Amino acid sequence: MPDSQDIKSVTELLQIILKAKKNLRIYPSNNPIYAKTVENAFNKIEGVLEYLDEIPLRITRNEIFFAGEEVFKGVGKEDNLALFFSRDGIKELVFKSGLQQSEFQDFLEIASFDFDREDVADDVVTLMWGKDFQHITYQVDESMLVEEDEEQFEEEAVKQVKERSADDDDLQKAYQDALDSEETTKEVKLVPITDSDIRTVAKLKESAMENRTSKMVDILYEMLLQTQDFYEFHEISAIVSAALDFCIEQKNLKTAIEILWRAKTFDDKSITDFDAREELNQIFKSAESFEVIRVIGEIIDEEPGIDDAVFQEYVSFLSKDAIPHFMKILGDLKTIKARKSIVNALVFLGKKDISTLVRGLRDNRWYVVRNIIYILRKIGDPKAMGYLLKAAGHGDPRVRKEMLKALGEIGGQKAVSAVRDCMDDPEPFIRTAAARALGSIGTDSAKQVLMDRLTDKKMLAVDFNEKKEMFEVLSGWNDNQVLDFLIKTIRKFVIFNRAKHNEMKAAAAYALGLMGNKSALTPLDRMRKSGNKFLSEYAYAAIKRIEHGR
Amino acid sequence: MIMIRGKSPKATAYDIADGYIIVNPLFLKPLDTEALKVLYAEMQKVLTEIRGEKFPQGDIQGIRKRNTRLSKLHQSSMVLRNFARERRVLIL
Amino acid sequence: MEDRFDNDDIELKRQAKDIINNFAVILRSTQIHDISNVAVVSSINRFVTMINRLIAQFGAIQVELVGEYFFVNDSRVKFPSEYMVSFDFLTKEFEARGLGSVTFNNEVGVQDIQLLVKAFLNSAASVEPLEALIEGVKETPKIVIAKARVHEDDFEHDARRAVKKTYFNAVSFTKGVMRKLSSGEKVSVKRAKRVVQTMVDQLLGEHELLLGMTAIKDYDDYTYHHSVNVSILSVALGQQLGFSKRLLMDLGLAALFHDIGKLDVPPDVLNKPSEFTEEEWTTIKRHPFWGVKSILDIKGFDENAILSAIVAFEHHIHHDNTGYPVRKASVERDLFSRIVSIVDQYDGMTSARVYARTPLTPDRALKLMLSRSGSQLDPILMKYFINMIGIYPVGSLVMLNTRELGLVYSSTSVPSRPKVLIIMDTNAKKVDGFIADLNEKAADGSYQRSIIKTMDPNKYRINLAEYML
Repeated sequence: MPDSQDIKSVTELLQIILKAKKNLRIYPSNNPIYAKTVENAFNKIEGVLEYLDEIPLRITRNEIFFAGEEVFKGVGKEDNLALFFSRDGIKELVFKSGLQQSEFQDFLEIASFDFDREDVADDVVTLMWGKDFQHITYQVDESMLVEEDEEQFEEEAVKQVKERSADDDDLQKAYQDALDSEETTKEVKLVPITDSDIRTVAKLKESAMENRTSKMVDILYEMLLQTQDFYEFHEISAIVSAALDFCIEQKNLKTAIEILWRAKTFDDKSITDFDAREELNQIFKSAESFEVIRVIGEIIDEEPGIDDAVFQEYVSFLSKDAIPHFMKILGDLKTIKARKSIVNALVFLGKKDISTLVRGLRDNRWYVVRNIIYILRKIGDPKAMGYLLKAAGHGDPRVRKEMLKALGEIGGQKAVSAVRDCMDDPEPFIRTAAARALGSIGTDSAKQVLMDRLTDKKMLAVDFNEKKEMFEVLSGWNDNQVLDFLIKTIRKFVIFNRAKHNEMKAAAAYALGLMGNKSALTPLDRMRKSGNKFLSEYAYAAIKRIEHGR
Repeated sequence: MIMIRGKSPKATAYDIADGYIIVNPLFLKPLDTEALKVLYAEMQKVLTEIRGEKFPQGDIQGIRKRNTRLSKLHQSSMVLRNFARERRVLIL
Repeated sequence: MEDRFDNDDIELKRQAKDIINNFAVILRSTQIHDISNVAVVSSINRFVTMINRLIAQFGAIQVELVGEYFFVNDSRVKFPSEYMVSFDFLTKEFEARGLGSVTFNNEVGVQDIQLLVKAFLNSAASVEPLEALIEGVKETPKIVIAKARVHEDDFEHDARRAVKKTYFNAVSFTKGVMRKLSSGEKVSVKRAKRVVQTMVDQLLGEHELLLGMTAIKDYDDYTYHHSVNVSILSVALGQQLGFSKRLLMDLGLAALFHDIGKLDVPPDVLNKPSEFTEEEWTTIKRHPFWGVKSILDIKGFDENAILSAIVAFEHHIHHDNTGYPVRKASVERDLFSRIVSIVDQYDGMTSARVYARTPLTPDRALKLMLSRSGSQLDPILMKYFINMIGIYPVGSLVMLNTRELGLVYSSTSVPSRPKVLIIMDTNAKKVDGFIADLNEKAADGSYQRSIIKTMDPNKYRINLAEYML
């Protein structure tokens, strides 16, 4: 018989379980506090079970009783352990000795559900039933399941059956006929189950588990072909949209793609009295709705995410209406992988509608703007030029850099002008990028801009590396004009600012080396013999380069 | 301007990342709805910032420190989210 | 012990729970306080007033404990949860003394109750508590103590009650679902799962009993009984195939809703006693289509909904892809659909239908189904099904070599030797239904009973169901 000490222990145990319930809701399962909570609670219950073989708890609406004594009282809905169980009809809960920690943890996890705050498909009883606890049993008050008008059903039904039953005469007749009739042989024989039968069943079970959703989609499309009027078709299409949402939630993009593909290739020849395609459009609309795209974004952002090829296949079904949604989530993504995927998606979709895309250039997050520029660059549409130019003066240098890359690729006179403005940018790496952009554009006017810059006094002040880079870009043109220009540079006679001018000469020599033109050999040789160590080094290197080829 | 224990939310977020503050229900209890939302947002910003920093290739200590900070922020974010859910505060 | 339903009874029921609660309170308090304590005294006074009022209205009042329930004048007492502790307590007090009933014959006074209470207290420590109790109230003729009645087959009895309850619970639940769906109300899927779970538990435990309930075929409420029967039989077949508990529940749930599309078939078509016209037949053939719609409307998309929808759609498609609805592509049917197809046919054939009042015997049904194995029905699953139903299916009417007439009650490990409920003895006399196990042997080692003939129970309106209830 349990004594007062036991009753105290059980009271404490229930408080520990209540606290565990709260902790398990707050801390994620990989948090050390989570594990500690479970361990703590288990140790306590193990301790109690060492003295008592089992802990039977009687549960009423707001109280829990052990050995006839109240060991828990709950008030209201919050923190009410008793109500949690009694609400679903559990009137008794028994913990038996031999309880394992894993079992108890499963129990605590179930206990930590909050049905008011979460949408759980099953109730407490179903959850516990599914776990098939070996050392935790429960008793349910089944009457809670029965609704008032159903209570009398059993009595009524039983009465009806008995009314129709056989009377004595029937029985006598049966008996008599039985005696008179001949012995019957069994028509149906039992058949042995073979090994191959067992294997077939096992295979069927396995394949049944896999992708039932896909099967469901099959059925829905069959049903679309069997609809009898517009209204039915509309209803079923709505269900298909819902199926799509479900697939996305389940991270099952493959089936989602299947849905879209089938909608796209739907054979509506048999449907004549309304526009089936128009109806099916609602499925595509659902596929590119903000909600769906947001969820996809979240999925891509997590580990392990989605296979990019699969994702791009999904995108191929979307229209330009998806662009603003993707742009919105672009800024919220955390991983590089995810951003890459979305950017690729926008490159694909943006081709259909640049104007929506360029709106992103006005976003206040620099990385978003940069991404948009990148996308525009990849799309390569000259129409984007005008918009890009507007971003030329963006506050963040990283954006300016990306923009220059884009201008470099797109080219055109307007690009050259914009790039030229960037040559005066306060950031050195921007100036370099501008130079490279000019090189990318490659036209004569671009070349002219670069040469103008190189002859500008401002050039003297910049870092030697920057000088080198600029000259390197110039060497890319590799024509006579450039050749003359460079030779002129190394021959220039200077008095003031000699060091800075020497840097220019060295850089020019370097460029000549890259160009590989033998006519530069003579002036370079002279430079080598100039007596200035710095200059002769660069000249020497350039000569060697020219002599031995690139 | 919202202050948490005398510090700005942003500073608090950094403190959490560096392990000076433990995020648990006790810590979160005195915060009001606004504070919770702001703190959460700041924590996400710091997360993005840390992720955006150059990865310390080859520097074992550096890698470890980076991971620790990310892990602390991540775990604390979850605790805050769950706590907010219990209070029926919506954090987007 | 049947519950009666008249107005008096309702009044009695209402007060009964208070009587018992009150009495429990008195006993509890006297375990702590003295019998002359103020609180105890007032409780006793209250009790006396209450019980005397009842005695005036109904004559003698008997409080009896049977199993775990209290009965007052043969009427079972239902109590609200606040009284649970008192009822529990009193049950234990009764059981500890082997006490069956306390009868109050006439109007009682406070002293009579005090005697009773003292007797309870004193008998607690006694070696023969019941004797002590009886002794204690010897002085008052108004109170009579009786021993607890021992039920034979108590376990069997309880199990049967439980199974009965489960079965009818399921049927009325299904009826409720259909009604709610027709009027657009919400349906509780959680509750459906609970109903199916209980069925699964019982099938895993008292296998035969629940299967026996499927012998109840009712053509008025055909659809509901049929749905439940198909659910039970599907789960049983699933068990043969080695499904887990969870899978069995999924199967049972899907099977329960397989015919839900019939709600959209006009009742006068559905219940037509004569043959269907082309048009009517076309309408009926749409019920799988409507079933999918209904199911996905109930709770939108989740795993169970998808399963149920697939089964609802496929259960009339044949193994060779004929049947309906007609499918463009040739797709393999889901395992669950195959199971339900088989079971659906079986129950349909063995039930009295509006258009075929005399159903086929299980035997005939199986034979017919066998001829369809491979074409309409999955041949491998048919093997399992036949083995499950057995050579002598539950409910078959059999004549034994002892010239006893019986109904097959449940299968045993030997298919040709099931348990048989004897309904007529060797002298052609009606018998109160005892169960004989045909595996039992006589002293000389030969079997006591064997089946020699099987007959059609429906010809004689004999139904196993009535003996189960």
